[in-house]
Amino acid sequence: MTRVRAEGTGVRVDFAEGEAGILAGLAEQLAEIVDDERDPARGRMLPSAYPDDAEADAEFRRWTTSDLVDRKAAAARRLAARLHADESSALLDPDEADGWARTLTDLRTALASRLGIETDDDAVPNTTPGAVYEWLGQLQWTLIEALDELDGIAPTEIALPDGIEHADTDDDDDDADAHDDRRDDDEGGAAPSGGAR
Amino acid sequence: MADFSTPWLTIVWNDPVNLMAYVERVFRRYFGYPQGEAHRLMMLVHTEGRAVVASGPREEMERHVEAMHEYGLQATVAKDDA
Repeated sequence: MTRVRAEGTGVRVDFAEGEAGILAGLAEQLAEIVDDERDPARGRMLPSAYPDDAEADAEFRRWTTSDLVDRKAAAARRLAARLHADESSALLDPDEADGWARTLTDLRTALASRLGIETDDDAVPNTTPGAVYEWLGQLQWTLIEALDELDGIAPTEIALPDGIEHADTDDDDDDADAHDDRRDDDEGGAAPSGGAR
Repeated sequence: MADFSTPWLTIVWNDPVNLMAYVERVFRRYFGYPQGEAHRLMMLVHTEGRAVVASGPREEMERHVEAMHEYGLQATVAKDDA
């Protein structure tokens, strides 16, 4: 599996075979999605700032949407370009790594839209896209951990018992009904289940 | 009419996508909160479903919300009616 660690003043990402290509392909799709006004995943990435005030919402969107879309698409394309250039290993400076973390959130948001993940109670489906969703979460989590380490933030302060579990909707809440077969080990996020590695 | 005495709020809402460590990092890096406060606010989002992360003039809150949307967080602007 792809490994991420702090190295010097940056973050080193060593890709497992084929994973850089998968991520680049996803980032290229993301850049298209954010430019497609009909795509519901795009809407989810551009939530309303004023859910109870249509007029203020429209005004806010008039001033922000175009720039936001451009920045999200540009970040996704930068990520894809970097992955095409460095397929096996990349050393990111902290700003670039934070940019990757943002794009990983956008990717997961787009996938969540496709997978019908709307609330914390929705299980990640046991499908290939579901596994990709969890893999992206794992990648983001290790990226954040490395970035926080560069800032002198100890991982133990971050890796709460239910940290990664909550985010991947795997259950250490009390909804232990639907998806026992996807239950992770209790090691606090070292390895979400799922097969994309 | 604008009421300059009424502060506005930036509210971040819980969502199923974002990792707790990521949300905490955004609060620390973007707003400049110390680690403990970033953690407290993140936990509020997680357990209460939302947290007020900033207050002040409306234009400033809108800038914050736009930034939160760029980070991929669910955020809204609200008037402080309390």
